[in-house]
Amino acid sequence: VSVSKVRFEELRGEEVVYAIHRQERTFLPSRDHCPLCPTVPGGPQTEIPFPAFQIAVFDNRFPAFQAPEGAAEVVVYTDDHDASLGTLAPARVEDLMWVWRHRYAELGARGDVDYVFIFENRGVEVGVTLHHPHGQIYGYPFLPPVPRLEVAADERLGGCAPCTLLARELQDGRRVVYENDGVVVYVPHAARWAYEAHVVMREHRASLLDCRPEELRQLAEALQALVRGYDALFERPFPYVMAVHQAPTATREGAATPGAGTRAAGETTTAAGEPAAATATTPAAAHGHLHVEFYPPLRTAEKLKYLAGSEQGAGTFISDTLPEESAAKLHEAIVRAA
Amino acid sequence: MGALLVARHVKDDGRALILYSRADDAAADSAAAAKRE
Repeated sequence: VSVSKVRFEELRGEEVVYAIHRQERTFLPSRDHCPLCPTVPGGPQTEIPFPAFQIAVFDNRFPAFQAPEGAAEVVVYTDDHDASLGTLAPARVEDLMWVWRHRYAELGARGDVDYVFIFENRGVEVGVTLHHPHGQIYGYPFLPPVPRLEVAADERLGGCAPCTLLARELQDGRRVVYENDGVVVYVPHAARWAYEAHVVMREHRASLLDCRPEELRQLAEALQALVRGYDALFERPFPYVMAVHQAPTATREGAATPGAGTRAAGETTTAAGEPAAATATTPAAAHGHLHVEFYPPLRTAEKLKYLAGSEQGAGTFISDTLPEESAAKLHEAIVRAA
Repeated sequence: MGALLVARHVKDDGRALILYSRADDAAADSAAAAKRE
């Protein structure tokens, strides 16, 4: 069994994961050999050995993380190979929110999971290797850099940063592209991607566990409105990375400190601790406001935004579009797709 | 889990597989599976 190794990159103060067994993972198989389709009589055995299913979750065959040093799961949204988050029945997307919630609770309760990260890569433009509609969940055995930055933003702003930013966006109003009773969607003031959007719970909710059932339904509605708008924007399937940000589940003191999950020698991983509740209130776990960030690489119908010199070498995004102009176009597309 | 049923399985190679379904759709799923067979 191959096991990932974590090294700590001191110059950037962040972890790098070596999962060399993933080099051999299934890469854009033909439709007839899709491993995420149901197993049909006479056909090849797939990851889901049943002739039909609704939502399936399984341990990744090529995991970046695995017990007792984290987790990597695949979440298959439907047995329909040609569907997408946007085309699913609304009830199915609502069910998906409950599945995410269930996985957050179970993985977050594990002592070896400091951060439960639910995400979807859509489109070959962002490196997808299987077209069947699905997302993934990584249970990181350390607090990754982006959640660490969100913890730091809370401290810099003197409270919940997403709450503060949401209030600013609602007051400004120019970049808000969708609203319902529980959720607001906007292109952020300092969007890095041309059509970046943040789907933010209106009330402070640290995680899916804190949401009322109607809020989960409203989150599903907002996500679907956005991705349908994305597909309508350039009248083509719109590639994106979708990132669900919630409260860290770390139970170790110092989990928000860079390198806390790695030993001084560098090439090793975190030690598994005792199971703990996902709602543990350690300094890191006390932060978090459920929101979903979308990073679409398209800046026009045909042109991709690449991370080049400034973005990779200096860490500063250079954007060709103003968020207010993108938001106006995206809002129009969401209305058109509704 | 709201209205979802949770069915846990272990794959041949030992990996976990969880199937989530709506209780009220279970009958419809069985019918669809029978049709495919």
